[in-house]
Formats: sequence, C-alpha cells, structure tokens
Amino acid sequence: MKKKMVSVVMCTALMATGSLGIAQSAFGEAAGDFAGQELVIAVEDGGQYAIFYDNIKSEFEEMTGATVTLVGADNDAVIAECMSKSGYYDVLTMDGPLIPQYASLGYLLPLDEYVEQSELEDFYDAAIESVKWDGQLYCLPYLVHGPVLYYRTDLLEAAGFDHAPENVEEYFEMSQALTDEANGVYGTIIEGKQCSEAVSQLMDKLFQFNGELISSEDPTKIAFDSQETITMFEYVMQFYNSNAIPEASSSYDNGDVQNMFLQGQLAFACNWPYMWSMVNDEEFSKVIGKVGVAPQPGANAVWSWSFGVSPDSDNIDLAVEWCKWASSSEVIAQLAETFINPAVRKTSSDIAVAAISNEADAGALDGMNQSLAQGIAPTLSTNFGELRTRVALTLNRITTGEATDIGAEVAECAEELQTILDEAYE
Amino acid sequence: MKKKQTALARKLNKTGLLLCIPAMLIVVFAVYALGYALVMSFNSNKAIMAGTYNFIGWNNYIKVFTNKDIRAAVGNTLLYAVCTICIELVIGLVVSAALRKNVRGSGIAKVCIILPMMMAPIASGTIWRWMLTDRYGIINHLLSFLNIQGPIWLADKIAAKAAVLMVSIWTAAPFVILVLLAAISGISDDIIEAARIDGAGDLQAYWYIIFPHLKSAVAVILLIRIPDALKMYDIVYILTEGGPANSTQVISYYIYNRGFTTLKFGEAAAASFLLFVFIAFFSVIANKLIQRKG
Repeated sequence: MKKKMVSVVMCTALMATGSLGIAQSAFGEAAGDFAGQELVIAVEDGGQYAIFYDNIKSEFEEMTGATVTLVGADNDAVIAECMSKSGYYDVLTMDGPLIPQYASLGYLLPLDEYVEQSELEDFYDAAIESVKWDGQLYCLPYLVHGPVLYYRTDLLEAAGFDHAPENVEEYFEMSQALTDEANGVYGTIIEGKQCSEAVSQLMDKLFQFNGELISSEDPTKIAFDSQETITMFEYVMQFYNSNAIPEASSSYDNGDVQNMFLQGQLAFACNWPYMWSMVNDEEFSKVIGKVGVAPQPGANAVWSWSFGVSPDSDNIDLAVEWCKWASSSEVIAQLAETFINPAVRKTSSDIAVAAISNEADAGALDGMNQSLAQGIAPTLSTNFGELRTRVALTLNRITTGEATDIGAEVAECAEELQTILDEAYE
Repeated sequence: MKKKQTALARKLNKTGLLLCIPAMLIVVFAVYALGYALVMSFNSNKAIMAGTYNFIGWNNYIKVFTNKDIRAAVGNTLLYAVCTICIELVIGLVVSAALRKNVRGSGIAKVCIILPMMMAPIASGTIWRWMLTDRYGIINHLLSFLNIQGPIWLADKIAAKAAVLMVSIWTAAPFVILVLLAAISGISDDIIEAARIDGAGDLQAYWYIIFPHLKSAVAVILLIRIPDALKMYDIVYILTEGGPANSTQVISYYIYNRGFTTLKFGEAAAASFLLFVFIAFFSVIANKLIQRKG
C-alpha cells in the first residue's frame, strides 16, 4: 500500500515537473525573459471573461517577469488608440465580427510568422477560421460560442412537456403554452431593441429559416432580400402578436432577457453560454436547479472572442506570448471549467469534460457543444458593424409596428445594405 | 499724435495679459480640436483610418446633407432644444418665484431641487431607465394608482420622445432655477412693496417688476442652455440608443454612431463641424442679446 502511495506521489511529481517544463518552453525561452516589461491589454469592459483573465494573469507574470495590466475598454477607446498609432494597448481583445475591419485597417498584426502551424493543430478548425481574414491569422481564440436555449425544467414539467423545443414551430407553441401573465411569467423574449446585440440574436433566427445576411457563396452580395428573411420576420411577429412575449420586447436587449430569466419571469431564453454561471449564482439567480440547456431549434450563429496584437506595440514578442498563453490548453480548460463553456481546443475540452462532476453542468456543456456543432459562422465583411446597425433599424421598425409591410421593409433594408457592402469593396 | 502710456497703465496691461494665459490655453486647445475636425471633414475615410491625408473636397458634407437619417436627427434635436428650454424656463420662473421668500423649508427645497444637477447624466439616465421600464418601473406603478395605464415608455415612439424630454428637463431645470433664483433674490423687497401700495396684484408685480429684472438672467440661460441642448447625447444613449425606429435620434448621437459604430469619421467630422457652426450662430445671437440688455 505504502509502495503504491510512494509511486503515485512520484508520478505526480514527475508529471508536474514535466508539465512545468513544457509550459516554460512554450512561453518564453526562460522565466524572466520579459522582466521589467509592461503589457497593456484592452479587454471588454466589465466582461466575465475579462475578470477571469484578470484573476489568473499573475501566473503569466510569474512566468515572464512582466507586469500585465488589463484595461476595460470599449471599441471606441480601442479604435481611437489604433487610429492614433499610440501603441498604448499591446494586446486587443477582439470580438469576431470586428476582426475583418481591424485587419483591413492594419490595426492587427498578422500572427502567421509568430505562430507555428503545429501550435494551431489542437484548436478546432472553426475556432481558427473565425480569427483569420484574407487567409491570414490575426488572433488566437479563447472562445467560440453561439447563443443556446435555456429552459425552465420545472415549468416544462408542470405543463406536461418532456423535452425542450426541437423546431421553430414547437418553440412558438411551447412559449405560448408556458406564458402565465397573471403570475408574470412569459414564454420567451425575441429582442427587438434598435441595437447590435439584438441583431446577433436575430442572426440565429435568420439561420433557422435558412436565410443569410451576406451571401456565403458570394461575399460581395447581400442575401437579406429573400423569402426566407420575410418568413423569419413573420415568425418573429407571431410572438409579438401573441401573448408569448412581454409587450415591450421591442425595447428589450440581451440584459433584459438575462434579468427576466434569472428572476424566474421567462420559460425560455436564447442567450450566451456565459449565462450558465449566472444561472447558478445565488447573488443573481432565483432559478438555481430549475434550468436546462439545449441547442436552439435547428441552427444558430457562432461567434468568437480572441486576443490579437497591435502592430504599434513596443512589446510585440511579449504580446504574442500573452496570446499564446491565454489560449493555451491549460488556460482554456480552466476557462471552460469555470464558465461551463465549450472549449476552443480539443485537449482542453477533454480536460474540462473530465473535471465536471455535476450532472447539471455536464448537461449544460453537452447542450452548448451541440449548439456549436449545428452553428453557422456568418459571412463577414470589413464593415459588418455598419450592416448590423442598419439591420437593427429594420428589426426595430418591424417589431414596433412602424413597418407593417415586411416585404417592402426587407427589400428597402437589403438595398441599403448592398450599398453599404459595396463601399467595403470599393 | 499717440498718447504715451503711464507706467501704471503699462503694468496693468502686462497683468491683464498674464491673467489671460489660462484662458488662452483653453482657446488653443479648442481651436486645435476645431481645426482638426475641419481637416478631417475634408479627408477621405480610408486616409483618416490610416493616419494619412487625402483631400476629397466637399464629399463628406454632401453625404451628410443627403443622408436621410440626419434629417430626422436635426428635427428631433431642434424639437428637444425648443421644448426643453421653454419648459425649463417656465419651471424656473415658477419655482424661483416660489422660493424667493425664505419661508420655512425653502432651504431643504433648494437642496432637493439642485440634486439632479449634481448627478452624472449617465447615472441619472440609468436610474430613469429603471423608473420607466414597463415591468417594474415606478412611473407606471404610480400612474396605476390614478387608474392610468402608463405607456410602454421606451418602445413607443411618442412615449420615448416624451421620456427623453422629461429626463433632460429633470437634469437641466435645476440650473435654470438656480440662475433665476439668484437674479430674483437681487430684487429689493421695497420695490415690490411700493408696487403693492400702488395697487399692483401678485401677478402684476411679477410681470411688471420681477420679470423685466430677469431678462439678463434669461439671456445667460439661453446662452448656456441652447448649445447644451443642441449637443444632447448621454440621455439618448442611455435611455433609447436613438430608438424606437430612430424616433429619438439626435445630432450628437448620430455623429457618435457615424464615427465609432460605422467608422465614417470623415462624415462624422463634417456633421460635427456643421453642428458647431449652428451652435456658434445661436450663441452669437444670444450674446448680442445679452450685450444689448447690458
């Protein structure tokens, strides 16, 4: 017995030494190579993942000898710094749709010469594709995700449903059936606010009806003016014209959906995987233990978050090291475990799945992975933000009843979208 | 023949120039920013983003004038500016008249009135957003006590406009009240007493004695509030983000969106410069009015 114990301890010690060695060789030739250097990283202001990286940055500091500062910065602040070529931010946290824009403007350093092909093999293909533009690698991803369907297991059971909705018709019917206005419970929310976040959610619906914003076959063409888009909006309006959603949904965004679901006022919520940790947080949630996760009916969009390097940085090597470390197998596994999120690396996914003992967490992760499997990456452009802004107006005009002729509104929107897209190719 | 300056006059001139230095620093920064915006407005967007220069003439201005969204934004901005300033003045005149006499409790009332002015617009905007929300907002809750079904403030076009108007008045009215209160406090009670002896009623005393004394204060308010109202941004940003369906879009928010969301900095600079000219025009008129009163 003692012998067994000793061998276990020795093996563990050897493995620890070995993994440390691997970590050392992977990130900088030796600890302290970057001693005295300061790395400034622009992160999403108040974002859950920014807090995660802030909490573990000391590991990177110990390994490199550098000092790391994470600065909460909106896109405006980052753009202003990039335009002025100040190099204030060494590393930029990139929301997937912005990568083509930043890359085309020269605000991101191509990483191909800094990253070996072998270092990318552990990433899922979809994850790496999401951080490339024009065939070049611009970032290293730490998250690829798509909105999933959160559902109230207790409400479904009470109403006699034994499964989450599997198609769009079921989603509408069950949302109607689970609405209990007298008790302040609604089936779901279809966000209608004139903002870009609502458009991200709309993209899921568009894919569920086989529609597209930019044509995947010809990225220079807008594919929004289609029967699929019209059918999708007619479907959305079914919710607005019934009692399945709150009356003011046309002014609601992602935050409202999260608040209402966590307060127990919604049966279904299409939302980001990170909401799972909020669902299980006593500080925020009144629905702990009553929630399941499933993929959205049919399809959903997938988006990525990643780290890229500013070409104006004075610490490019250190910045590249951060990108590699922050997307390393160990860190991604830790991130996936912390948030119960799909991992962007195969090995991390295995580690995270093995570490999960809670049945509910395992079920949630399974739902998220299914969501990734059915996910569709939207075709992007260098001015995707402007396209999104225009779609937000049409979404809001339709959901507020300002535009009643859906076909005409969609056609007008598509025409303007094409003009905007043409500018990207001028 | 040129008069020779005395030593004292020369010393005073030097002191005057020295005292102007802080003001000149502000002017230098303002002129630099203005000049930079002007240069940007004639530059192509691609060149701006790349930090270079490519003169494209009036193109950005033409795009601004032909953009249909900006027409709605200009209309809304003017509507808000006119409505907020008029309503603020009415509230200011009534409240300052009521607070003129230092009756019991007026001190507390004054503190309460200026509280909104001390809050950051973003903070007050957020609080108002909660108060106006349809599910748990206190405004509709209070209206329900009066058997009034409150509107869905932020989802309905007219209600959203009213909400933006209400919050901007709430934020700016304390300033108007304070200025008018300061002006009204300077009017001697003896004059009003004399008018009363001559048979003037409260309304007549106000109209013929107090109100004429306030004209300079009103001109100062206009000088400050007109540019402020035309530049309104934060309340719209927090409450509605320009929606529903662009119904609360204002010029400053349009400029912000054009610049930072769609990265059309050339057009945003052109629109900013036009807004500056517009505000400068009103400021000059208000200034002339003040000088005439002076």
